[in-house]
Amino acid sequence: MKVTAFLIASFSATVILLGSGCAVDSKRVKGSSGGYGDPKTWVAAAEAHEKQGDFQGALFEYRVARTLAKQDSEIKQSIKHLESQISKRTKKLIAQGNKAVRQGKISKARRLYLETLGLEPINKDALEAMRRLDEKSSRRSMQRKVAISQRNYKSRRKKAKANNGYGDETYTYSRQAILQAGNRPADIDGLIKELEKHITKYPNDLEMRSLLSKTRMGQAEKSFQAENYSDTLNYLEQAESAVNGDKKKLQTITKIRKEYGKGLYIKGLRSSRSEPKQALKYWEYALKFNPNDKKTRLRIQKINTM
Amino acid sequence: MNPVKISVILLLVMLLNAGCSSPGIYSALSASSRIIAKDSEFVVLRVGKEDARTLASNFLGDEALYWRIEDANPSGAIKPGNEIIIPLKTDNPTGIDYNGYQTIPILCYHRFGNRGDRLEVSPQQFRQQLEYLKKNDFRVIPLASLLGFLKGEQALPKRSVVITIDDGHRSIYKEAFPLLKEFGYPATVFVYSDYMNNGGLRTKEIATMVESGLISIQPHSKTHGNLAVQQGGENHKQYQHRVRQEVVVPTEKLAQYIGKKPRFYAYPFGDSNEYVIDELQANGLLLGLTVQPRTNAAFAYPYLLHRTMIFGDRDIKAFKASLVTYKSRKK
Repeated sequence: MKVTAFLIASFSATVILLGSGCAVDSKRVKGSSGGYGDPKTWVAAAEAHEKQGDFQGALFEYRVARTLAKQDSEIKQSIKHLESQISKRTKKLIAQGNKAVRQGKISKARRLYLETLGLEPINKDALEAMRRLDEKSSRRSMQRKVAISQRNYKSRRKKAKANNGYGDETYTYSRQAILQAGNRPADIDGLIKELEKHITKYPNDLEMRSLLSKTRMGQAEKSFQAENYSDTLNYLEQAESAVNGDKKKLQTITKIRKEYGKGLYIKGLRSSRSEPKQALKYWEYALKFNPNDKKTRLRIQKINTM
Repeated sequence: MNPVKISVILLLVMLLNAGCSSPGIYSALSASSRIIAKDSEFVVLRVGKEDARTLASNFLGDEALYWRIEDANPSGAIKPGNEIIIPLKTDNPTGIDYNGYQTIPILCYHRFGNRGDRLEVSPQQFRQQLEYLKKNDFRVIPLASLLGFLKGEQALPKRSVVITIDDGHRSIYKEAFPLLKEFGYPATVFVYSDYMNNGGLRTKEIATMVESGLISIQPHSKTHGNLAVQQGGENHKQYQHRVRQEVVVPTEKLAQYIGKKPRFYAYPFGDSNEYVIDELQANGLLLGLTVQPRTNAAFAYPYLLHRTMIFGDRDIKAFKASLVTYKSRKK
């Protein structure tokens, strides 16, 4: 009998404790992962994000705070205020985005729609607008890609090469990887590596050889501007070797060599009185760029006999 | 003290410990974690001995949703004694936030072996790449997961990556499949139907891979001809007929082999145009995959999804560069 009474009393106490204990606990617990059990932690984070303009982040944090402190009216008020702010700002941003689309300012429109989604990630209007823009740009870039494929198909047919088997697939993808590289201007070394790999495998791909030559000429131009003439010469030699056998392209490079040689000849003239040693250096380089330049050769002879 | 009383007191202490952390339906499930607060949106709790999978099973009803708990908390936070939050609702299915947006890289492989072909990735390289994904907390997800994400309905784990393999070469079964199984990574294999049982994957091999639950087989045309380039001597009507055949034949053939209608299509050479897209839509195909090297946001056009080619002659640095899972927003 005593045991039964004790059991009943204990059970009742347990039920009461179970009902009330957790709520009390939630307000004072500070955890090792940043006080996640303390609503103040979340409110502070939310305030910081709100100040920064990150309303979505702030709203998330206020909601967690509300979970922890259900009766806190200030938190509820902050949520309401934030929701209304988000609603106002998204409407304004979408209107601005739509206007930008009408004016053909696509980058601006994209930025505005993304800003909207940054505030409200499920905003249907902004999401739909972004989808339309993405579809348009994807279709455009696909058209460019298909144009490359068409060119490739025609050139392959011209050469009457077989259009089947793995070799052809590898060839096509290998070309695509080069021609579609989005970061080509920023990653010249990467582009050259890809081109060299491709040409080693497909030495008869003149389009890629020409692209390699052009890229090397671009490097030569940069080096020349930086007055690094030794590198300029190396790049030009590599540009020539890429199109070896193509008379027209070799003539273009010879023309560039002559221009660089002329530039150095004039630099030499300018410094010949004040710095004859420097002038000699310029002329020696000029002769390397254009070994047939008689004027430069005479200048070197003259300065050496002085 | 009476031993009965001692046991009752002990029982009470246990009940109190368990009860505080897990009232209601959770009491039996998460015996050692302590719920600090809970409503319809979040559970805030002090972690017990459970890992993310157990917590997901207990609170989200599916252990496969463990990533939702991991992603809502700082890295490594799910440890005994730590306070964490469990979001019970998905409030950001598009992965777009104030700073930028989530993107999903889709990797495109072709063959596996050591012949040195550009399109061929050696098994050693493939292992190295899968190990890299594992070590760096990338989550390899099935291509089908993208459907909900692209509709703006289904959130995806942070650092999600999709693996696809084109053509249906037999090295997929011999070299790639064992490694995918070892890592437990799903992949989608796009086959062109003329190649099946004709130098390419055999029906039995396809069946074994599908049965594993990791591999999904989808169409990649009939002959692997370029669908966006009109061939020499082909008039427009003939071209449209060819496109139709290249979409319909493999789709029906795969439906027959696998018993399920395919839902995705990889364009041969990654090339497509409006006719091809129309044909995909007419045949109930939901995604079209190119080889345009970019990643995919929630607002990506489903019929021109981007993929990054994985070449055998590129190093791990290039592989890492292809794994763009978040893009910062220009402000």
